[in-house]
Amino acid sequence: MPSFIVMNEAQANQVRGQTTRAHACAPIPIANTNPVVFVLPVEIKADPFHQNILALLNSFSTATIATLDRHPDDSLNQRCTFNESTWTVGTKIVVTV
Amino acid sequence: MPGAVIGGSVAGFRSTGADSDAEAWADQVVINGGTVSAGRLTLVSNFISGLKADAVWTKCDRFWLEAAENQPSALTDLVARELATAINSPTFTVDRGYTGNSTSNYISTPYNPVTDGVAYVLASAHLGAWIRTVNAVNADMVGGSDDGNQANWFYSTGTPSFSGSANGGTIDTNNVNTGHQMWTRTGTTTVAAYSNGSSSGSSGSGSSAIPSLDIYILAQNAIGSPNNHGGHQLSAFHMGGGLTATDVSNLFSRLQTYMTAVGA
Repeated sequence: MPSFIVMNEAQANQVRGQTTRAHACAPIPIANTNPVVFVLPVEIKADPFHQNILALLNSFSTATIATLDRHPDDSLNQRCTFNESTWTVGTKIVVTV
Repeated sequence: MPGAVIGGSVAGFRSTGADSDAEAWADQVVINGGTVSAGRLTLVSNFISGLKADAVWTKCDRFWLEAAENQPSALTDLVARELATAINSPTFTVDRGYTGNSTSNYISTPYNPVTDGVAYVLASAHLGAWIRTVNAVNADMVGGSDDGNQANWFYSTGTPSFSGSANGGTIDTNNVNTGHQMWTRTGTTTVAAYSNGSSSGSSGSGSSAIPSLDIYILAQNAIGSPNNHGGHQLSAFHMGGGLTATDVSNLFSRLQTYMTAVGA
């Protein structure tokens, strides 16, 4: 089963953004969680383009999830999705659930 | 201007006889943080000049060669020199391309076929990819977008093996799984599928509208967020106007030459 980094809303807000040019970190809100849980693939920890948030990523827990179901709220999903106009390099994108 | 090769990168470098679009692409790669070796510039130059000789180049709005020397090269489009963005770290392999994980990563392109389409229009359009390895998961997306109107291409484990939506109209085909796979719409009710340069299906499904969303690679942009993430390894991705059978054959041949040269 695939492994994911698991975050709460505040933790996801610490890493969401375009970490370096053309490389973005976009935690995904998942279904059937209250409060909403966000996840990232663990592969992101090995990506040199995200090394400046590695310490944060390493501080979060990980879990295996058999089937990843995205949160049903389209508005929330859109706000958590990379936007080339607003996700400028180095800017943390804060999303309030 | 005199050329200067700095640390293996091409910076202000003009090799004699290189295609001007290839040179401009190489310059943009350097601006984007990458490098382009002289040998790679020659391969890309040959690829672009070949497409120009075939009269295919101007039918392409965007062309990413993801089987590249580095990620800035893979993410910099050859045509408009636009930079795509890797989301959540799809795996990049030098000279092979990007592999998705089927769950949470993909590539976001800045290409919206409504606002950025030049050759890509309602009744003349294409979407294609060089698929190095296919992920045998149902509905695994190669790329596309869906705002209610769709332009996409995905793999399924059953029959047909590939299905696409060409501005609303659908096309199904039993392509072989790897290599160059694409659909092209050449009329309001004329859609064809091609696999490695040869016809693999046709459809009379009509076009309805062009989706107005940025195109994703290894996922589909569904109303502004990704879904149907793909786990394939893609070595190239391109979109543009409708291509004839001869165009597709020529494009396949040019791509095959490039992929063979880089070992993809």
